[in-house]
Amino acid sequence: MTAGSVTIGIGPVACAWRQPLALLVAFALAAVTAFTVVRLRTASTARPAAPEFVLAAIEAVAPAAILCGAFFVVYGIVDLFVWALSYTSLGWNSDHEARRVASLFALALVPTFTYITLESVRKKLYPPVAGVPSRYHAYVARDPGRLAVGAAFALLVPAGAIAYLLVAGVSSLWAVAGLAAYTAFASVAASPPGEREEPGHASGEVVGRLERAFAAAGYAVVRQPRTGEPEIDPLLVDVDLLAQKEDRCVVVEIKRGGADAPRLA
Amino acid sequence: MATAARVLEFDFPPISSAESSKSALRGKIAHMDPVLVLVDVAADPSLKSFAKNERVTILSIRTAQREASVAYPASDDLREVGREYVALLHGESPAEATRGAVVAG
Repeated sequence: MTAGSVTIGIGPVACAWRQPLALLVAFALAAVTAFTVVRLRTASTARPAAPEFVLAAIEAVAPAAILCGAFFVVYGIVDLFVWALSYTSLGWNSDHEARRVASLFALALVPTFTYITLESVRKKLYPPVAGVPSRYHAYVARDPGRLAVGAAFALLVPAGAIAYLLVAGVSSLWAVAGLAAYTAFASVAASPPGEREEPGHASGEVVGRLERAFAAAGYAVVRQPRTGEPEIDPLLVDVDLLAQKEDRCVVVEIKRGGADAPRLA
Repeated sequence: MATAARVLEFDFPPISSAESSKSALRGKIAHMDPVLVLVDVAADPSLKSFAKNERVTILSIRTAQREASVAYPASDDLREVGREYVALLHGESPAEATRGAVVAG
């Protein structure tokens, strides 16, 4: 899934290079990275349904589309460099060389971007809490129609446009830049909004200080405790610390005053 | 949190951190107490009532005053934790803390 998203994201580069095979290379690099580097499912999280995977695929397109930006930066640098060398007798075609070098540079970054994308997708599809559905679950259940429209505009339209540009032999940099910009925009627009931090939630600094305080008082402390059991872990979502001293244990939840919270006198 | 404490008191499987698998708790547990830590915020009457009924200990920390208090029910161990927390605000050990005060609520 992620390999497919990365391929759609980097597709405009293949159009600029006029090399359909670049798509296969990008897909292969992303797939190999996905299978060898990232372990996706780490807890007994509720198994995501197909629409949740589609939503993850939509969100995974945007980071890969950034590679198109890297393509244009490198293209500009190389084009300038080769143009400067054109005063020598090497006879290079600056546009052709720049497209080739920039495309290879973008392809070389595919494994890195795939890894970053997979890390993000992993956390959202498989939360570190057994039994808890993915971040996409509620979004999909709330508005399935919007998911279908998002998939059409963020996945199918870019894929169709890439195919059209390659078949028609269109490699205009304006067309490629427009397609890359559209792909990134459609991906971001169709993705669920980021989660806002819960008001009153303690910062990492406060949790860390309390963790050290329990440890100094002779407790063994675990931050964000998890059992891996789907019947128990959802109850531990709001628990910040679990501290044990001999046969006694405390479950700790921390609440911090927000901007509108009444302060202690 | 209170429900989690009841469940874990009944069934205490090996517990590790979601952040790291290095730290883990295991063994037999006789008591599992829920503790709510309030940092710079006051408990309203409904929360106080809930804490009394559910036997949730409240550890209140006033950062500006460098004070901590324990209530519902008060616990010596948690007073020690409060003292350590206040000492950490000072950046010194509890023995050296001059202003850190922990009082029973």
